[in-house]
Amino acid sequence: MRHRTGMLAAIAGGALVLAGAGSGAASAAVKIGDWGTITADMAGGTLVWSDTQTARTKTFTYWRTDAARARVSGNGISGVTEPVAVRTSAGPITGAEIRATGTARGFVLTASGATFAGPVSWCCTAEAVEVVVSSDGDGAAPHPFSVGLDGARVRWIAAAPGGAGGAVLGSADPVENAERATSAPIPGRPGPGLASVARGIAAWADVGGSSVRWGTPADDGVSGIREAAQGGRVLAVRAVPGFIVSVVRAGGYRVTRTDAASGAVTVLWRGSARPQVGAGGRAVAIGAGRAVLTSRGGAARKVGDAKGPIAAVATDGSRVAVFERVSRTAKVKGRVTTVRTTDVRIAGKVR
Amino acid sequence: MRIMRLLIAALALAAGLVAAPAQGAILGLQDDQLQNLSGAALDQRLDLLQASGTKVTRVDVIWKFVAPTKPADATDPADPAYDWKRYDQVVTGLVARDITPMFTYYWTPEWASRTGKTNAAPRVADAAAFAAAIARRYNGTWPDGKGGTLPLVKRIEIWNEPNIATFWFPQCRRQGGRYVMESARQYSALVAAAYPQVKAASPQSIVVGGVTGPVGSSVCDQADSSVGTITFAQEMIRQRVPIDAWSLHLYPIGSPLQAYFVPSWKTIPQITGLVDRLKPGAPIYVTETGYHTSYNRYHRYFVSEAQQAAWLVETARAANQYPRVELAMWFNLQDNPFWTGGLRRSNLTPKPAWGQFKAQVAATPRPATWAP
Repeated sequence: MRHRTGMLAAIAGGALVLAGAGSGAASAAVKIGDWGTITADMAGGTLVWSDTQTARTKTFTYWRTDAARARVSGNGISGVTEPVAVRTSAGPITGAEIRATGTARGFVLTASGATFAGPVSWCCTAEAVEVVVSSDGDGAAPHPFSVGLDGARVRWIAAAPGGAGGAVLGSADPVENAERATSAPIPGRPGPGLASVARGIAAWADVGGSSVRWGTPADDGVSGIREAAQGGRVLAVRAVPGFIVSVVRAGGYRVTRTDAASGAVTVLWRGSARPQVGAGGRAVAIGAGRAVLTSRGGAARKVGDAKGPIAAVATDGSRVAVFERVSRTAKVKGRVTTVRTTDVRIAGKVR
Repeated sequence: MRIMRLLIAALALAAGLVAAPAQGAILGLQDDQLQNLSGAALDQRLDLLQASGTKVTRVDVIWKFVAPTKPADATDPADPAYDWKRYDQVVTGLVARDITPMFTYYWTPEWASRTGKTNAAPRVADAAAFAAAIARRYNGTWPDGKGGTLPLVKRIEIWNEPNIATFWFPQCRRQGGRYVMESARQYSALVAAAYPQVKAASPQSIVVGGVTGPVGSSVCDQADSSVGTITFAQEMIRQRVPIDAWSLHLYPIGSPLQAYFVPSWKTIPQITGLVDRLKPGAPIYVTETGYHTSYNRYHRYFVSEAQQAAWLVETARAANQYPRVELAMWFNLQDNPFWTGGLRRSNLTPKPAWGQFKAQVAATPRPATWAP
């Protein structure tokens, strides 16, 4: 058995975080190079995010997802590290998701594509080493596209490409060579962005479906499954303990909150453009255009504005982090060029 | 300057100092489990390796397994501290199956470790003496205890990936408030010490230096940093290290014919130029290469199984573009959770690349200089 830590960073390209990184004093903002697809979460004083980009080299293209974590204190972000990096030529990464575990600056990550089953990783051991909980290169393997920590178990929802074979709930301990890995079928036909797992709850919607299912995850599947109509086609699902947030297309767009105990569905926001959503604690964060809104259960209220289009939002129940698309002109190697960054900052408090 | 190098290389070849380049690079296959098996299980595994069609393989000689306690005379393979049983079986079994083994030795025993850890940079005298013991035992004349002799293992790589802290620690050390590169200098001393001892123990042997892991840039900002392949070679040139052949490991991002990051197949000419400054005309062995088919934390770049198969074929083509490259060794036979570049999955079912490998090796006969 060979152990080869250390070589990866050297061969896989540099980190994407441009500024505000490092372990020094908290910074007002962190800049991520370019406008990748961002997923984010915040819990336990830690902000985590995944940045998925197409990497175009001089002669070929591959795809990458970089997962980062940072400490959040007050309105500052500090100590950014990128402990997990997924690189592939198997195809575009279209199903990345990251969830903060809430302890020890941890997170769980998955990054799959339409043509391959990506890994499920837990970060990290005390030595800052990631643990790959699941990784299957077999072409017939289900593709994980949502992941969460449920007590001591990492759980993920995966589906065979094209819906053949149905969906499964995978579970494993966050330790290397976990021998207690399980896989149990769940009903329905979810896809990327349409499933979510958190402590004590798993939720999902069928591709093209207009309702959300949820229940209690366990190694043998999801029990007590319930279903609630959302009043339109479900585009995104995010579960946190106690409720589910959905993005729904119904004429325009709306964000709904489904109470896990009562099944009651509340519309938090309506608008004409597809919003970004985050959830944590008892709160929901919404990024709509450049507006940052939050909700504790009722209609969403504006808490701030972004400097550019919002790529993602995250909340721990008290603060809101926003990932905003910014472009500026700068001189690079003597030439004036447009530099695109995704800036990360704490945009305000939940109201 | 280039003409001068070519002339020197031609003279070296004419004098028989280095092996003539093969018509096409040999495609070999390593199985990192061989040294962990014995008896019938080893035989089955060797049969599987043989079924791949490979005619050349690389065997990890784990120093700490062979010498768990300090030998009184470390250059003498008969020293009672040494336990060669598993390697005698592996080498004999390989040669019986017409597979040529080459050795790479590493992992420092506790008694020779400065840190108590197995990745500690070894004391030069200890590690060089062990190289001599390997060479002497497998020089083709050592009694096998059954009335015959143990096979000759001609090619011996000095260590594995000494430019990566996982295998050689420290890479850098603090000096005057900053870190300076340490590993290449120490490793050069080891090769310089091992070379004459190996040659004395086995005059036919080919001492292979470098064995660099796939690191592009050198960033010396802590003890466990990594040193780039090119930088490592440059330091060995400065130290005027004697070698017979150079080896390196390539795990390109991108296909073999498109990838251009250092180190990749496209950077072989640059590496060849450096190797010529160490030993004009010396052959180059790519003793590890491959593509992973799923993510693992030791190699975070992966491709699909179909891509792996296609890129195995491209690997052979890429190797054949460079006449100085004699060998491209695919790593590994079988997947494990930490290494998913196998031709077979962890459950031993074949991936598409298994069939491609068989077809490739069948099309490239092993040259006589590589016969067991």
